[in-house]
Amino acid sequence: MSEGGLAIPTQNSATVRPNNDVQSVNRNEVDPILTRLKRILRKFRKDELATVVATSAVFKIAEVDINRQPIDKEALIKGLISVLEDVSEMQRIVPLLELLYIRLHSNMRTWHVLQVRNMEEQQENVTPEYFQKLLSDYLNRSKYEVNVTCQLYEEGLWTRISFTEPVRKRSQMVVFKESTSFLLYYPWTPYVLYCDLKVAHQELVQRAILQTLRGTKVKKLPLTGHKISALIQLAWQKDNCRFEENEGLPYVIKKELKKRKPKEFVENSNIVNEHEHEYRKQEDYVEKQFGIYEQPSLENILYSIKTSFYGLDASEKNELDDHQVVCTVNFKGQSVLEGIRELVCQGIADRDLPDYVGNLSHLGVNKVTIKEDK
Amino acid sequence: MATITSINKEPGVDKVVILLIGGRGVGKHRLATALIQTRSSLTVEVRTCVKLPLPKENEQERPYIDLIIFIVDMTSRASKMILEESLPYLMPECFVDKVCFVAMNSSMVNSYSFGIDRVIDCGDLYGCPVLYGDLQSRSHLDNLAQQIINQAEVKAGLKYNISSNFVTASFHGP
Amino acid sequence: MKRVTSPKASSSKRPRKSQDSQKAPTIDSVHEALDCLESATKTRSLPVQLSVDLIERTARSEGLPGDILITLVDIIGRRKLSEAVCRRLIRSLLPFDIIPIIAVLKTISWMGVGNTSIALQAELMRWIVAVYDHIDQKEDLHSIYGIIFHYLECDIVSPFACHLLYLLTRKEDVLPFRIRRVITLQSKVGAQPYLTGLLTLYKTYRPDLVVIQPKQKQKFFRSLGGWDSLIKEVKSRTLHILAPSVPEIQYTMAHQEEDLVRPEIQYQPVLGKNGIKTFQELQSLLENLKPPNGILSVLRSPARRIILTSCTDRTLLVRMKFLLRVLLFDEPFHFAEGKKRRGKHILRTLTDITEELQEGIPEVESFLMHYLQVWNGLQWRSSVLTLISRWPLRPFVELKEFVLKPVHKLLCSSSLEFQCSILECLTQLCKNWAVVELPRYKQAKMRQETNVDEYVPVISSVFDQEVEELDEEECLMELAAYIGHICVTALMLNPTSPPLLMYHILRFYHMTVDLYYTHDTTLLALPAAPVVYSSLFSNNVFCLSEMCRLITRYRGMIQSLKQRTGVQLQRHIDELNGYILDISNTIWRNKAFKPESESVLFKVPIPASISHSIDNPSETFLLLYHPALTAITQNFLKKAGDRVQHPKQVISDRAVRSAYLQYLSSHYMSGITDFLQTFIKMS
Repeated sequence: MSEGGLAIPTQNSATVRPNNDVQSVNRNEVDPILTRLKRILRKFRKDELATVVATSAVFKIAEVDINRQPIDKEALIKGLISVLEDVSEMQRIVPLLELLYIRLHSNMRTWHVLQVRNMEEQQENVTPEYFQKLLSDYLNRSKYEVNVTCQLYEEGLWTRISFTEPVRKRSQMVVFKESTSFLLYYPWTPYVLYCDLKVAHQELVQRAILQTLRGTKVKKLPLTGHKISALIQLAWQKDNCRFEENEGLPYVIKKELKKRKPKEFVENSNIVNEHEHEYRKQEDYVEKQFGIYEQPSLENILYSIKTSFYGLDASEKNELDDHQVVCTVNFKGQSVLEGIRELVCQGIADRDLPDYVGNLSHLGVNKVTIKEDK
Repeated sequence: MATITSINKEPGVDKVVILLIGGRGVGKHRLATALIQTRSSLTVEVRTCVKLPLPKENEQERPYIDLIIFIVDMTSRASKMILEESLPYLMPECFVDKVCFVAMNSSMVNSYSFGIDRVIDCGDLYGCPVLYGDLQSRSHLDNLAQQIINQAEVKAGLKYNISSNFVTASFHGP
Repeated sequence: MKRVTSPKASSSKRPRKSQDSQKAPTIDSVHEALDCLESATKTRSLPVQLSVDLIERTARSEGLPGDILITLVDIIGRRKLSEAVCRRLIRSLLPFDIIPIIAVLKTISWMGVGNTSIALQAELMRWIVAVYDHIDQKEDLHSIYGIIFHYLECDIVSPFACHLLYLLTRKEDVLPFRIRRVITLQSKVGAQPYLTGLLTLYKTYRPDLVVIQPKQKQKFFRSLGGWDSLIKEVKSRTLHILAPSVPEIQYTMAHQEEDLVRPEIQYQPVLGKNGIKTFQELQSLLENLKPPNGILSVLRSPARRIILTSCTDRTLLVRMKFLLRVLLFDEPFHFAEGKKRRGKHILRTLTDITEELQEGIPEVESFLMHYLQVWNGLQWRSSVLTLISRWPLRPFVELKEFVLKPVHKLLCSSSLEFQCSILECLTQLCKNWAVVELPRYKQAKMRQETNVDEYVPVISSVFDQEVEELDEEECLMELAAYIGHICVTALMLNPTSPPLLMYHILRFYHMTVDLYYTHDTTLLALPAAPVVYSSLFSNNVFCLSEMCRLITRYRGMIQSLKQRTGVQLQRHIDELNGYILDISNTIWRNKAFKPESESVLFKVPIPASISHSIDNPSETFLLLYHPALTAITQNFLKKAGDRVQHPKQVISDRAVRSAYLQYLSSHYMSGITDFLQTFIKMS
């Protein structure tokens, strides 16, 4: 896909600087950047480094021979770094590499979902540069020094925001601490996902998003998870009843939809199932309840109940304040919704499921409070 | 409630009907396929069900059942519960010569959810043979199927001059 | 020239030697050196330096004994000498063998006095950590845990204190206030690796108290500089003084899993550089064998097996038993996908050993007792059957319950081949019992009763086991009876009496008779009636012939048994007589199906339906007309050609009859001819 917002430096001989300049550059400035660059390059796997070279125009210029077998990662990294000439290039490339890394490894982070209400219908204009500029402008008005990088990848705007703030360490030293967080916004959907965002910065970022996308209200959904498409699908399904009827499916959901494989059943006239009838009824219910597509993969569902016992009158209730029933149930796994479906298939869960268990894919939440008595 | 008795139907000629009772996922279908594919001079028909009692709707078309096999999965306690709940629905005369217990996954000693002695005691209590099998290996499954067919031949009375009572009685020694 | 005052002059114990003032002072022994140091005032003096040198040299070469260490610690603690000297002294605190706990306690108490600088305290703490393994009686050290904990506060001593605490902590030392202290410290100085290490250890002991998750760093504690190598050096030099005079041979080997690395025998050179040169040396050193934990590897090699079994050391056997038990019970090798090969491998090794030793291993026996209950007949079939056939002599009830009954149950639902294998295995079991186990039992019992250890038995068990009181002959009889019973069951399950099955059954009975002639057992197990009669009426000529031969041999056996007194034979004689009568009636005397009082089979008159539909039913199974012998008879008649006009001449004409019988015996049917010759009077 297209790559936005990056100016490619041209390698003219005129711009080749003499070595003195490089040496006279402040060591303190070069080294942290160098280490960061090295660190981010090392995080990539060997095969991913090929993608790095292919997608970033800077490295393409270097004739780094990736196809030479066997690849020694360290040598490759050294080679890549040697192409870069000065600090500013390194500074430019580090955010892009981090974004690339997040894209490739988005399943490792926990993403949270924000919903923006009542956005104006100006989706066509949302380009990476526009997004980056608006966000950057708003955020830099705050007390932090903010650096925003945005790229478009497969119809989604991947944004990296880094906040730099001074932190006072022991005695007189003042150190600048940098914290990065990532945003993901799919135009045509009202959802923005973020990860690694510090609590202190949340409100600021929310307001920035509100401003940029020109919505009226932003709400943080109680929905978290690792897989992006699943999160978006769940949030989408909450607002639009049965998505099979709705044609306006975002691309990101569409590509992840997988139809379930039918169970291999060798029909043999000599094998007869006594409970055929029941079996059919069960299958029908499961299909009706859970659909023919595979459930989006959610890792964690939390149910909480906080209530007191029935049959207590007011006075007793006050005394038994400590005797509230506080119960939390946590389902954990690779794909909890699939698991719940399996439970019904196996017959372990009774057929008529309550709404908060059976209809989870349309509730769009991760944490369900079944009952909360104040 | 439809209980199975041995009196109200006629057995088929050169045909053996085996009923497999076991919870979901215990391997009935695979065992049934293996049973049908075993080389034998008889036709084998297999009926599977999840628990007893059998539904009334099939009462008319159901043939005479020659062998009833209870399948228990050693790694799943639910299957044992199904077994215990289904046993009361069999008429006592069936236990004399029709019933056999199969313990699946008997080789995964590490993942047993209940002790193997429960199954052995069950077999001793009801006087029925207990077979041990595995779903993982093809050869083990075939071996189990062959054993079941051999049992079925005796129990269906298709072997000359021997009945399952004789076999059970012979276990006590000379 | 300045006169060097010898510090010894101030010591009251030594007599003042006038020579000392002229000669350069020398320090000859460590004790002298210590005295010098104790009473020294100026560090720069020569005697002090010499003493320190001497102490250093001694320590490096052979280490210092405990009391000297204590004195040294006192000297260091008092701090009368300079910092550099103290440091050198600390570095020479290398132990000869062990460090007495007093030395360590004194160290810590001197640290607390406050005389020593912080750097020295750190050095001392480092020393304690370095020699931690050589301290004896660490109990007192545990009681001053709190004092050592206090040293965490000080930044410089803290790493070593942490390390010491890491080595020292037990579960009861992990207390909430200590944890809180460490956490506060961490927040003050940052997450230092040693603090993290200590916290991780605390978390291991009390996960409920430590809630934070200490990050896993690679190395918690710094290495101790040159200490390790120094101590090792000293130790290696002193080792030969401490080591026992007998060299130890130790196996080193790789443990478990699929890579079957051949173990090497490593020999520690102790007395010179000679290895074991002669076999006699090896024999004499066998007592010091230490088989490693990879019991399987030991058992796999024949040489090592021999060593194991010929070693008279009881502990070795006990160890082997324990390891086998661990192997068979705690390591369930029944199934996990990757371990199928391993299970097969283990059993095969054990089977090989059992065959070699000609005796069953007790642990394997108890494993089998459990396993046979859940055996599906297919897994490891050959190994299991071999191991069953080597079952030791036990009360028959045990054998029946744990081996014979499960096998019988399996037999009832298995294929013909498996039934035959089971029969073969049981035949072998019976034979082993009679030939090997019975004499072994008798000798073991005799040895137990007379309690004579010098008595060298001819057959003895490798495994020292108590023998129970049992009637061994009775057990054998019962076993044979049960096997006969199994034969009958197998026969009933295969109504067509296939020849393979008959072969195995008859082989069992032949074996029992052989046992009488070769090993002089008194096992008399007559075949059951169904066996006899299915052979009699079978379609296979070999069955008939072998059965006849068997009956003949039984007669011989019973006749020679009659000479012996005390053997109850009447019941058997009656049974055998019945068989003989029936067989002769059927194949020769033309009296089949005629009811006779002594006959076993023909007591009941044949129903009229049969007698009317077949004419001459009593003649139907004569040799001439026997369905099994049809082909042979036909061949004979063809060969005879013109000499025989009518087949009936085989019966009536004596010449033809003898020719026929000769023909039979030349075609491997001598069983029939022997029978006829033994029991029928041919006029």
